[in-house]
Amino acid sequence: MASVTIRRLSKVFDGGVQALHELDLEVRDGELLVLLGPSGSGKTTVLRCVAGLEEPTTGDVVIGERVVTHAPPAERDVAMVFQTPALYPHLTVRDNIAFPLELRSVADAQIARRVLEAAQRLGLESVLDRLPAQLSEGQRQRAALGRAIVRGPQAFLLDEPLSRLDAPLRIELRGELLALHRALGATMIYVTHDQTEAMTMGQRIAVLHEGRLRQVGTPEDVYQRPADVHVARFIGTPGMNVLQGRGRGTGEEGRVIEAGSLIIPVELSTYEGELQLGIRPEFVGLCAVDKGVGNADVLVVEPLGSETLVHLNAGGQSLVARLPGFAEVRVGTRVGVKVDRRRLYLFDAAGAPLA
Amino acid sequence: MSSRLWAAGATAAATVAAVLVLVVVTTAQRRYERAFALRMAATTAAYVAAVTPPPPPPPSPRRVPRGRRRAAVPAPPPPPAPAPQSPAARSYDLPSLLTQAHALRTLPGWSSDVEVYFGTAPLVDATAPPLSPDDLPHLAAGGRWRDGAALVPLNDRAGQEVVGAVAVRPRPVPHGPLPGGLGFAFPAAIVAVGAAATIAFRQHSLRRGGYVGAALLLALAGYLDVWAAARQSTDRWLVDTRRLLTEAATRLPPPRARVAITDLAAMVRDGEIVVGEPAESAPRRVRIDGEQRAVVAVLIGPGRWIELRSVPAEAEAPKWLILLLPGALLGPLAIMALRWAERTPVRSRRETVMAWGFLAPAALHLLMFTVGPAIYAIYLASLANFRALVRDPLTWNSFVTSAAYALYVPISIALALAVALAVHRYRERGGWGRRLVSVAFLLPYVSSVVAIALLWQATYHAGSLGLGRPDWLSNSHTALLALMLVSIWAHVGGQMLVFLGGLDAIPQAYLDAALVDGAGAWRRFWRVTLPLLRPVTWFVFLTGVISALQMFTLVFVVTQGGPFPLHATDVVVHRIYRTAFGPQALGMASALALMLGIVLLIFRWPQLKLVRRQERHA
Amino acid sequence: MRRVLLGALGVVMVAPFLYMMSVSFMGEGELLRWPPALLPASPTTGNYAAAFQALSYTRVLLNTAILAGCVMVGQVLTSAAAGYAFARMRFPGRDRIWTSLLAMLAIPAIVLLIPRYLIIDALGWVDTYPGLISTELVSVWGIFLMRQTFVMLPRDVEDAARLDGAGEWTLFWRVALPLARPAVGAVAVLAFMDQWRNFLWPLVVTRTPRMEVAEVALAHFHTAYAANWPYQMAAAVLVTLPALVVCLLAQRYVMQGVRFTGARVRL
Repeated sequence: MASVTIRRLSKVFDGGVQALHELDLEVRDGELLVLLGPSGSGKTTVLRCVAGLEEPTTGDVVIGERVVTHAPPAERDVAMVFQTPALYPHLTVRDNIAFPLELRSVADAQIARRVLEAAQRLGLESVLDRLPAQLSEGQRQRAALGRAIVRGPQAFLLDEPLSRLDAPLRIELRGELLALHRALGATMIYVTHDQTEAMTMGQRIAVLHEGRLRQVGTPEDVYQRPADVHVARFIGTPGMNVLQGRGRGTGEEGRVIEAGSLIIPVELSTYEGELQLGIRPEFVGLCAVDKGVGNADVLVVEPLGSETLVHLNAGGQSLVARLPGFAEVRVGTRVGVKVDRRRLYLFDAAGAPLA
Repeated sequence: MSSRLWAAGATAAATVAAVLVLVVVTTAQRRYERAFALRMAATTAAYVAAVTPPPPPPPSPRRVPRGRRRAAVPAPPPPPAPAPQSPAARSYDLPSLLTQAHALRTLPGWSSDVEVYFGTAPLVDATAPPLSPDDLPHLAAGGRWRDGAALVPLNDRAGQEVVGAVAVRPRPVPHGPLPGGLGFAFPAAIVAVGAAATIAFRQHSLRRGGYVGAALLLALAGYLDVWAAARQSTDRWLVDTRRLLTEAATRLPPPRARVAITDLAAMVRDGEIVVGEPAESAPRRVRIDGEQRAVVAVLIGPGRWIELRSVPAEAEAPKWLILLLPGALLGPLAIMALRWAERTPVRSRRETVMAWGFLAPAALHLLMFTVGPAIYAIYLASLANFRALVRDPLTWNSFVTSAAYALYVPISIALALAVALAVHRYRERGGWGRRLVSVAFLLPYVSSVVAIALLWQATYHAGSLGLGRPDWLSNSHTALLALMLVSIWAHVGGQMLVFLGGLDAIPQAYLDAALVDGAGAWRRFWRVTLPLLRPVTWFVFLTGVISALQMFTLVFVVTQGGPFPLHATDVVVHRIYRTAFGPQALGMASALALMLGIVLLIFRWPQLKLVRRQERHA
Repeated sequence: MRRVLLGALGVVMVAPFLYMMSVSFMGEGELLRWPPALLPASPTTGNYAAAFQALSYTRVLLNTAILAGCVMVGQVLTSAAAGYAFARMRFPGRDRIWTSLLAMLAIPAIVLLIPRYLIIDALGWVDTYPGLISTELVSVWGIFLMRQTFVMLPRDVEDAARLDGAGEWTLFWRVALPLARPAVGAVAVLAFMDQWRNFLWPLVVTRTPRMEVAEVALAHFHTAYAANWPYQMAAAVLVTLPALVVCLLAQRYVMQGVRFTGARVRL
């Protein structure tokens, strides 16, 4: 196992689209790092550059001590699992798993042993002689995993391996992947756009947005201390409410932010002008009209059982409140909004956090 | 890559290209010189055979011929000569032979040295080394080039057995404006390398540097040198042969009182001799019956002129361009490749090299057996051939016949479509029957075409299978119809299967939607099925016509273009075959093939567009 | 009703072949009587024995098999390699080269016949196997079909193989080619059948009976024994038989080939 280091990585595609901007990232030896970002944020490109499937325009990829920026994939000793199982349809599961070993001219007896080992680990012993077409979705993705682990690579690259599976299977395999990571002590880079997956799996999460790395940190870090407004918006289900506002007021006390129909008192005293105010839905509450920081119209109510999401329109600013249980709120009515003033996040107009 | 390294590489590539051109030029010149020497030697051998009388009748058959003694005196002890008692050895009178051989050496104005061997012994220069005894049997197979001289067999007077040899060693003559035979090519090579070096060291672009132009100039200069050498080889032969002919006119042995042209013509087998007019002695180029000829006037007696004609060697000099042009363009191509490699990342470079590795077999083959021949075909088919073809009624007949024959295509397609529509629904439920029937329909697609032709010829001939008594094939009015009937039979099954495939591919939802909209069966066919089937129908129609216009085997086997004299089934490809491999008019046949090719293009073009559209959908 | 129509058409297709078989067992003059006999009066296999000899059947069959076999292997390999390069590799000028390749389809074979013959003649290959085979080794249609197939292979599988350590060659040989098996089969069968029945080129480029392929031998047989129909039919059956076997074995691919070529017989 080895660490993976990415230095000032940029990638411009043939059409002139710049997918990555000067990306710096270090994945420690044995770490499971989740690359999280919306689709089109460049996370798959990062992975493909590490794998050697794309050649970076500038910058370097280092695996262990070795600079592999321009090395072909075969020489990098990394394994990758794709969104689709990408099994060779003409080979049995056994031959699929054995393929990378065969290409490295490993002795037959050893191949047999290692294939069996990998199969046992993944519960594939009974289907070893089947063709991929004869497997279930989950078995296929497991076989793809088997092909990755069988050769003990320096690092695993997982490109949304679970996104095509249905929910129960996804949760089951997620657990297995974590167990596998612990058992192998493997360096893994796991790409996903699903932030629940990111929160549950990652030791650290790297958040990408529009080809730039926004934040790297533990799940708690990125949730509680978002580095910018993009991270704040993206992390959490639903993400953080971000209101466009304007600071107003004079003196030590009485400083407020006006955002739509809301007037929210803030304890910050050093900023005036356009700014953005973030608050997570769980810290937004409803009350009687004119009793809170302002009033809003109820647009949509989503009762989910354990909680209810209420989508509000506060003078042109939309925000979501998360209420416990079944809340008694009617669509089309006007309600008062209250916020937990200790849980406010302030960003400047460009999205950078204010101290 | 550093710029200096790059510049050095570019200059090296240009130098290699220039050297390659020079090597080609030198090789070509040497080839032409050898060709001249071999030709000259053959002419000389024929001359010697013609002017040397047979030996006087020997007093005793056992007597050792004088030749052996004579030859043996000045020469070093000769290796075992051919059996002197052989009848062939006695076909020449040795003293005369010796005289004639010596005379050759003193022939004024000859551009080569000559040696005549009797057996293995040299006659002209007696101190020269003799031939080895193995040489004579080898020479029987033809002339050869050895040690800077052309060596050809000297046959006996009957022309049956090799009794000696004639060697011609061409003296070096200057060709081109500069010495060394590289008159144009050498300075051009220097210019080309210079141009390459300039763009390389000064970082000019290829176009601005003018290297492409210089490389083309180099090819042209090389070609001029080759052309000059070719022309010279013909001229030398004409001039030297002219001397021989004049000489022969005085030396032909009795009983000829007056030299006949036919006697001289026997001496120049690869040339032509006709009665001529007085003219100057230098070779000229004239056009005779539309063909270029090199000619020279020869005086063979008081007031008697003949004209010696030969095909000029430079006529086929353009073939050297096949080597010269790529050789010269190798330079710019190599520099382009270097430039490209310089600004391309390693992996793209590797991928490109791999890709060309994968492409190379197909690409080389296509260049050699498709692109090359296509250009060659145009070269072969001269304008004169087209003119002749247009005047030939058989040409028009063949095109009309082919067009009439191709009319079977719409008929068979209509039939196939009708049957396909009729059986489509049944087939969906089909089981074993379907498989069996498909095999039956595919039979004509796999069985031998000649066998199909024979079986139908037999059937028509016997009038069986309900065809009736009169043999359709022997009647000019029905022969083509009979062939069309065979073609419909051969195609309709497969076409139907293709249409069934097309019908299967039509989504049921379209038909259901039409049904819901209240369209009747007739409307559904016209408004839904047929439009959706159109690409398939077009494709089958176009390939059908293209293949119909190229029909050959059926006619070749069954009717040979007859019944005659109407040429009732003489389709174009059959005409091409008869033209090409009958009287060997390859140029004419090529012109005819090109005419057909242009007609085929009318159908091929939409077919390719159809294919491309299908490719984009995939 | 539909069943009857289909059956009737099947009978029309097969009847001439059955008739060919029938005549091949007849006596020499039997076919010339009126009305013509459908079945032999006293079946004889003598025609076959004689035709087998006169045709030098084993020799021409061997020649045909060599021609068809070599061309099949050659076309499959060159088509697959070139198709793969066009479909899955990036290199400068690829699309332009592809377009000009397709343009080559517009050059009809008949235009190439004479220059090709002259080239083979210049190489000294007339009446030899290289002369017979070499011109046919590459098929632009084959390249086209293979490219179509390779274009549609999933990219993930290719990427996976690269990471498994496959180089460009392994990728082609062990991953792409096995996945393209149906197309390979179609190209192979098409090449084989076309060459088995190739007539004009072998006719032009062979001189001696030693080098003749089945079709040409049969045509010459026809000229030599013009009036003896049963004799000729026996020879025709002998020549058709191997192709029939192929048709039965590879029916699916033959059908694919017929569809791909737009149902043409090179008559």
